[in-house]
Amino acid sequence: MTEIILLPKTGNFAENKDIARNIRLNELIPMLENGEDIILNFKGVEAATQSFIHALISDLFRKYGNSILSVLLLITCKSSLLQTTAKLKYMRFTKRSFVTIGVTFWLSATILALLPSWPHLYYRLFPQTSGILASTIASTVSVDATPTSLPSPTPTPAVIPPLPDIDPSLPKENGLLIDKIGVKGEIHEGSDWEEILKQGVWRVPDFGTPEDNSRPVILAAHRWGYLNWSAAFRKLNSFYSLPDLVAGDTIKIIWSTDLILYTCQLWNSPVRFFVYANRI
Amino acid sequence: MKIHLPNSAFIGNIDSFLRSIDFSDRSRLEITANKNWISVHPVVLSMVASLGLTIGKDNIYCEPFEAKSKNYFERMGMFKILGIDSGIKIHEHEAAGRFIPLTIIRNSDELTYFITEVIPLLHLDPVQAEPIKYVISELARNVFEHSESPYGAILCAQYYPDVNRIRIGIADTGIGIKNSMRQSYSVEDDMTAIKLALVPGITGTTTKIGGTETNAGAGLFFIKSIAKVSRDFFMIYSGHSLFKLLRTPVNKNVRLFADPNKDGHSENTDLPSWQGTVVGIDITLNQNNDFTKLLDLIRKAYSEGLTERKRIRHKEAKFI
Repeated sequence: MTEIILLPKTGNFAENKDIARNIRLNELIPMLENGEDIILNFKGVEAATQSFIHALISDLFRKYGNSILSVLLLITCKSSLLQTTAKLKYMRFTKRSFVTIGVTFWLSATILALLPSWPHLYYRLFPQTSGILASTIASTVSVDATPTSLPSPTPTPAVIPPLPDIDPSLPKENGLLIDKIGVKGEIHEGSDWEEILKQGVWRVPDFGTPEDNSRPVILAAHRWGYLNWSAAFRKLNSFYSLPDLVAGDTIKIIWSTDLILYTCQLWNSPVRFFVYANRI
Repeated sequence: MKIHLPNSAFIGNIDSFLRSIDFSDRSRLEITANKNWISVHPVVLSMVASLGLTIGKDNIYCEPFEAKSKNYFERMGMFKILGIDSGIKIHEHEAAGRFIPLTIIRNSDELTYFITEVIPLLHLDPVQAEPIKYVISELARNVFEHSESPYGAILCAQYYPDVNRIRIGIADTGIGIKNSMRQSYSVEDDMTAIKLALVPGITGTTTKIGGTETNAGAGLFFIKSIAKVSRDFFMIYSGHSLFKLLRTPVNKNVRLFADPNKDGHSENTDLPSWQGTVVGIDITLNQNNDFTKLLDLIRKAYSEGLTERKRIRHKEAKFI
């Protein structure tokens, strides 16, 4: 920080524009070009003409814009110049505030704009993610695992209600229908989870089937899927909106038992969303 | 040239004095005066001295002054600066505290000397001296920077302790405001040029609103505003035209306008042509008026005027 004391140069009445010009050209501008912070000290100067102040600093504003305020500080003891100083400080504060608000706004806007596309970008940047997630989904539940929050066993109904008639329009393949979140996909069987999860919903083979009431049926699917999935396929076969399901929602399985659906919360997080359903 | 110093010539009634000046023969200056009493504004002395300097003492004819107040002109240095012997014998009074005699200021160094060494001789409080320094500095610099006069600025001032008022006059025999403004603006007549020069942010050195790095186009606006705030007269005479700011009545609020047409003023456009510029101003030195606050007020008006001027220019149709 370099201080320029004006009193010895100007006397107590600063009016000589030639002096102002010399200070500007020979001191202020070279210092600014060197990136120095400057204090212009008016202490002892009783008054200054408008012409003097103009010749001293107006060209700096023209050359460097308002950014000059961040490196140039005026100090004085006269009220009129104090007002100038206060105004400069106010402008500096205002400028910083606006810059902060502006940066925050644009950052927020950018994040919000990118959020829906974030999984797509992430998968593009890290193409192995789908495989890792498929592995995570497959290894999440073991045969011996017992869900900690499994609801109390379904009470055996005293009277078994009659099953509805077979709807001939339903597909012949095993399938899953969840109208609320738009899922309508085939349930795939097999132990090669990595390949099967690429096709959509996978029934975990070590658990029950819809015909076998001894164990719950567990179906798994990606929450986002793969890049080569079309939007329509993803809508029908992913569990993206699984967390939106609440108690009372209907899940239809074209098969025939207790049903557990799960997907991961986010990426390869250990947290899973589970939805339990009773066979009707 | 013939110039007659009347019984009374202050800014309020100066029109008839200006109208009486005869510029028909610019190779000779003939000075006459009222024979009973002469009471004139310092600006009149500055004008006489300016004319005398342009033609040299050998071409000046000055009628012996008979008025009882003739000593005043001797003390103010009018005959001395013209280089003529008035024949008036006076006991020199201590000048301090009453007036600043006719002074020629040709450059920045002379001005600085004048402000630091001469103005203190008025023995005024610093609060009262500030506006005087301010006005003289700005007006004299206008002469150096714009008038192209080889004779510089000729000024004098008189302090009137009974009304606590200072009267300042400054004259030059340069190119005049019209020719100065024509360097950057298309002005047809003297009055248009004078009014343009009074608009904040307008200077003859550039067409840019707000001026250049060394000229803000604010000087005359500030001087006029100082006079207006102190409810006093201010005049500019250049070419054929006289713009005179009238006193603001005490029962009216003072408002500062960027447009001089909105000020209470009088105009005269058919006067004998003064080759150069003459400025006169009265300032009441009220100790209760904080000059720095006054300048802040004027700065605010200047800034608003500048913004308005830029806005107007921005809205003007441009043909490409």
